[in-house]
Amino acid sequence: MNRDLQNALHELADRVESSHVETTRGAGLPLPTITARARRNRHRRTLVSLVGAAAAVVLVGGAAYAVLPDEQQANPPAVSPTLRTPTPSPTTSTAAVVLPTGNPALPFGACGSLAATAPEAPVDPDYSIEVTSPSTVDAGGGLTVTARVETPLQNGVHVVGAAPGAGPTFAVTKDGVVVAGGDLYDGTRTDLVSFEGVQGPLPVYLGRISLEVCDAGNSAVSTGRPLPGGAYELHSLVQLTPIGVDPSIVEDGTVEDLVAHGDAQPVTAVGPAIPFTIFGDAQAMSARPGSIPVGTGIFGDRLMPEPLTCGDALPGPSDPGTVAGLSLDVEPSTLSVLAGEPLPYAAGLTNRGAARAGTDLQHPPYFLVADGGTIVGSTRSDAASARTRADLGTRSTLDLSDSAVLTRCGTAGNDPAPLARGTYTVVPVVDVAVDLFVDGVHHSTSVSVTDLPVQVTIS
Amino acid sequence: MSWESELGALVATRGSALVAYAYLLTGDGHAAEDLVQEGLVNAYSRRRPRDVQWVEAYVRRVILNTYLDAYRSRKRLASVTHLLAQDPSADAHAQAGDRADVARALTVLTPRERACVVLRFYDDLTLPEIGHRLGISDGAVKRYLSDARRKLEPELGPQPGLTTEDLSTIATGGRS
Repeated sequence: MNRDLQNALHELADRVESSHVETTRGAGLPLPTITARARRNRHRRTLVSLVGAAAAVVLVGGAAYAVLPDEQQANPPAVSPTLRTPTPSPTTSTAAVVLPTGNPALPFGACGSLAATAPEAPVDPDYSIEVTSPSTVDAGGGLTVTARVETPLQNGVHVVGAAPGAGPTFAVTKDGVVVAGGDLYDGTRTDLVSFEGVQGPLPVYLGRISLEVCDAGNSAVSTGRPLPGGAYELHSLVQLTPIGVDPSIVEDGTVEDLVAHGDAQPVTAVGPAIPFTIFGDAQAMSARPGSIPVGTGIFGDRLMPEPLTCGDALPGPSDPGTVAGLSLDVEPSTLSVLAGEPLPYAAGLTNRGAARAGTDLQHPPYFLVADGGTIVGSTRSDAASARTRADLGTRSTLDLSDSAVLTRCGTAGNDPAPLARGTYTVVPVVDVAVDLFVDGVHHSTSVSVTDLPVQVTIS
Repeated sequence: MSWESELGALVATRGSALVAYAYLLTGDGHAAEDLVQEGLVNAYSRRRPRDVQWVEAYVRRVILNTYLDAYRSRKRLASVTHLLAQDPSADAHAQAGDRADVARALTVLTPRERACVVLRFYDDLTLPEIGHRLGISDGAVKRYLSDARRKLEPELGPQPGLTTEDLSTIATGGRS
């Protein structure tokens, strides 16, 4: 026995422990980060059991989100917006649009309610909604929004609860009165989902609020007419029911049962009031941006397609109609890269289907690399994962821009090795689990979405 | 108690001790924190029984395995780089006191040699237990400890306890 070495190791450990306590004062280990990573992995293990050893994953750093402009916004009017002024908008406009008048008896959020009144459930400031939307929009169209619901921690762990599957409700107010709004599912989705349970945090919601006069139950109001030009505010709110802090709570029963039979009281999370301006007047709502039909034959298969492997033939671009209406658009920032250097790329996953798509990505897009039509490498890596969930409305795009190192077959993961110099054909791919609500029916599937190939030279 | 609460409690009460344990393996404070973080993530990525002592022991095993896996696979070059020998004079933990000699001496060991030394003289494991823990034979454990002795003696002086012929197969009676 060597007492010296034994004592020395214990003294060294004691000294390091004391030093760590003193220097970090308990802040040395990032508990929220550790918790979040473990939670992701716990969920990912569930999926991995379905997809086998398919997914090697790449870290997404700071994924951002965006919404494609509506088609009408993609073709801006000839007059510069900076030269335009809001049209005066009295309660009854020159186009004879009659807006709802304020009814203080209604809870906030209902058509005709007052912004100053309370919602049905009390507002809890520990919950919040982050919303981004444009500051100007043309009459007769929609207002694109991106929303993220933030839930609080309780003693360092996330509160688990129930939320509407449709996400937040949005209310457009004019002079303090709700005159338009609704949820992103046009009220067709009424189920509840859990947050911070097995499914993790709520998704990011991307969609479009139709700027038409809401139905206040009053025939004198111009229900369905485009909102007239003028200054408005966008409000957001969502009713949430906290039911504990243990994610396993939601494993044993439906969220609806837990809410119905539990004693938890709902609260309301609200977002900030966001001012925006409608320019011009429109006699009718413009047609919604075009969308493609989605073949229902793809539904029902929740298993992720088997990933292509080395030696397989390179796939062509996928048809959105057969992959739940999704399309992947990837644009490498350069077509020539040094061996072993990351290839930066801009990437967007767009919902071109007629229905909203709840998307769940276990890893970001990756490249399949081919030489002579045969896969010889990829950008799959065995590094840390990052899960992304987003609820995409029609023509909404999830920004997945990142970078990746092209590696050769058999080396991705534990010991990546760069490809030899040369020009390769590269196909971007992203694997997505999708939930669609079509005519009130929930469909689930998993798809691999591919983009057009590009030629990349490694030098 | 939920696993998040359990994790929070473990970090609050035993986080620094786990960092110290990882430091014995890595010789670097930041690398030790990274290793503990990896260990905790790995441990809590699975469902665990809710006995804190068991969990801490499990996390120590994960730390050890993660340390050796990083060495074996070199899957993240940066992680591996800072796990290799460094000048401990740059480390605040090692600068404190004459135990810096030990910290410096340990840097000459390979990861497996270092793991064997830590398991033997800190975790107080027997040779078969070390072999079982590392998935290697008793003979391999003896060889690693013998190699460790050859490297440590120039730094620390004679280390008869590391003579393989004297290595017992029972615990030394130290703390665990």
